[in-house]
Amino acid sequence: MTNEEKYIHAFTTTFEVGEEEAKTLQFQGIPAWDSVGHVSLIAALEEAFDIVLDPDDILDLSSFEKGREILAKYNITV
Amino acid sequence: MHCLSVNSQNLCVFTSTLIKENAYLLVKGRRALLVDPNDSPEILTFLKKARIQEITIFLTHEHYDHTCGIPSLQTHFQTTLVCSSGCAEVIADEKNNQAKWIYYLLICQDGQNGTRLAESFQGADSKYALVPDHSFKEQLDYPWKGEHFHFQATPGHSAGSCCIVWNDAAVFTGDSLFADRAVITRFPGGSTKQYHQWTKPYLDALSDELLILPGHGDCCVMRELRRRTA
Repeated sequence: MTNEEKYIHAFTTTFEVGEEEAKTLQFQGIPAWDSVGHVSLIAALEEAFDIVLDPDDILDLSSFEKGREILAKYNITV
Repeated sequence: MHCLSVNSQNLCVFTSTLIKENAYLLVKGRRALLVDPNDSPEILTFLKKARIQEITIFLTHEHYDHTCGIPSLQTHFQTTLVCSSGCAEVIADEKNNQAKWIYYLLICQDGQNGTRLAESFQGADSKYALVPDHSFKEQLDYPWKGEHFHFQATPGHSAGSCCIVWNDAAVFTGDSLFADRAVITRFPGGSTKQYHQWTKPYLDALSDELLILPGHGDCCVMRELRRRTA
C-alpha cells in the first residue's frame, strides 16, 4: 500500500465512507467524526504510519486535507 | 466513595475523578472483590484500613480506565484476576494499553470546551501488562465467598467486553450498557455488528428486576431503563 492509500484507508475504515467522500471530510462534518471518531482516526493513522502524534497536531487535524499537512511534519508524504 | 445496598450487602462505588469510571468493591472479612479497579487513591486507602489480605478482581473489559488500578493493587495485595479471553489477549501486551485513547479524548474535550483536563491526566504514558488467573471464552460461573457470579461475553464496546450477573439480582455491565448514555462501539476493537448480533439480544433477555451497575454513570433497575428507552 502506498502512503496515499494508507491515508485514505484510515479515513474510509474509521468513518465507513467511500474514498471520494473521505477526501471532503472535516471534523464534526459527519456524525461519525465526533470526538470518539477522532480518537479512532488518530489511532488508525498512528498504526498505519508508526508514529505518535503530538497533542497540538491531534487538535489541528480538522480535515482530510489538514491531515496531509500534519503528516508532512513527520516526514510522511501523502 | 458511596455505598449501595445490593443483595442485602454494602457495595462500595469508587468513581475516578477525571474519567468518572465506577469501580465496585465488596468486602467479606479480610477478602475483597473488586470490579474494574480504577486509579482512585481512595481504593487503596480503604483496602489498607480494612486490612484486606486477598483481592479478587473482575474485569468487564480491557480498557485503561477499567484496569489502571490493578498494577498498584498487585504490589500491595495477593490478587486473583478474572476476565474474558478477549480481554486477556489485549491486556497481556503493554503495547495494547489504550491509555492514550483517554488522553486523546481529553484533548478533544479541552479543544471543544476550553478545559485543561488532559494536563491533569497522568496515565498517558502508562504501560503495564496483565495476566489473568482465570479467563473464559463465552461464559463462566464463578463462586466467591458464598456469592455467585455469572460472566457472559458481550462484545461490541470492545472485543473482550463481558457482563457479570451477581446472584441474579444485579449485573455489572461495564461499558456494554448504561443507564444514562449510549454505548460506544466505535473505538478500535469495538464492533457495532457484534453488539447488535450478540450483546443486545443477551441484554434484552435479562430480568426486569436486575440492578444495572454500569462502568460509568448512575445505576438503575432494568425495568426503569426499559421504561425510559421504550
